[in-house]
Amino acid sequence: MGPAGRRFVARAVLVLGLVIAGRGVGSAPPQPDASAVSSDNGVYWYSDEDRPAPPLPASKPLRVRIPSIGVDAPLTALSLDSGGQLRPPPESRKNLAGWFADGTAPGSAGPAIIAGHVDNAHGPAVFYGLGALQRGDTVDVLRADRRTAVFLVDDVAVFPKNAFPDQRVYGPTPLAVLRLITCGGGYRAGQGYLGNVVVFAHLVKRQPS
Amino acid sequence: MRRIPPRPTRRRAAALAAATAAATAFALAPAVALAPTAWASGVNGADITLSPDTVDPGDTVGLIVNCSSSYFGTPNPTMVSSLAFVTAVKLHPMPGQAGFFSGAATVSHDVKPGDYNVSGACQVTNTSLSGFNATVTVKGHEHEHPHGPVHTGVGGSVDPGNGTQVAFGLGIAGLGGGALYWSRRRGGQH
Repeated sequence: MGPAGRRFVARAVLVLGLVIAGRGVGSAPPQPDASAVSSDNGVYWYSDEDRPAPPLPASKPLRVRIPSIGVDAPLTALSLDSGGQLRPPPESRKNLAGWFADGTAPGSAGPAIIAGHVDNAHGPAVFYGLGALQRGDTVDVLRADRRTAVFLVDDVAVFPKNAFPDQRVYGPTPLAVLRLITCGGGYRAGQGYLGNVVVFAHLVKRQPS
Repeated sequence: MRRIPPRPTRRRAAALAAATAAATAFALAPAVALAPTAWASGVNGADITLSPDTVDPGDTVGLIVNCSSSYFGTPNPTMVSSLAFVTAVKLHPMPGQAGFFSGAATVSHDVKPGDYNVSGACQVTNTSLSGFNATVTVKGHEHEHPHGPVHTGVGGSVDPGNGTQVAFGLGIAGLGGGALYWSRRRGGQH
């Protein structure tokens, strides 16, 4: 084998090693930047069109769209279990989110709750990218009355499951707001996800994107 | 029906003295058309009816106050107030029913669930009042608000990584890189 041949083999071995090493590196859903999260339920806007908009009459939500992370999913109705916890949507359908149908309809005054899986047994699911949202991103909720409620993200936070702030997430609000919930906060075998990623957003007058 | 002990605000002794007469007067008082759901009477026959008496935040509560007892010289009631109400409520005479007054109260949107006292008084003389009380119950929303975290993932997107594999791969890459280096060095000597 000449020098060129030896170099080719050496390059191939180098690349093979890097591929093997790369496949051994772990991966996990994106998580919010803890330092960017405010500790209150502040509502933020940077232009007049993003002021909190007057609440809309209640109407059933049909789809949720989040352009910045490529979410476009139908919504199913969610209810509470006997312990008062929100039942997540069926895990088998990976592109399905759910809204808490006994609570606030998205766009009406109060906190509308939409939950979706970060993953199922086969891999990433509808809200895999939720932790990558940032203040200023928009979330569109298409409703049965043919109106689209557009929400502007105020905060993206992660809360441990054993210290979940019920009042902050589910507590009544005078404004029309949205909370998107998925799992996050680290994963431990045997314990599952240790927390929830929660996106806080408020209704604005913007046109859907 | 709930009976709440009365709270005459002034001249308690005088008010109590007239209790028997007032009780008789109350028994003869005209029936209130509204179905009473909460009802409370003072010793002097001053009473208030709330309809309904179990409410959600933001609801409207109808109030009917009976100041018709013959005991009252000037039977005008005071405003009716409660911590559960947005503001104190001014009452208006009910046409055709002497001594009866009505009004409507708005329950605050941000009131916490629980029992709240509703109170006011009928004026007995220029310097004395006979109080009435009732309780309005603001319903809790325990059944409407979720609690706690949501189980929205099973870990199928999590790859914990494999340190041995990373080390092995880097080792192989090191061999390749080393071989390349030596090959270049030798090539450079020619």
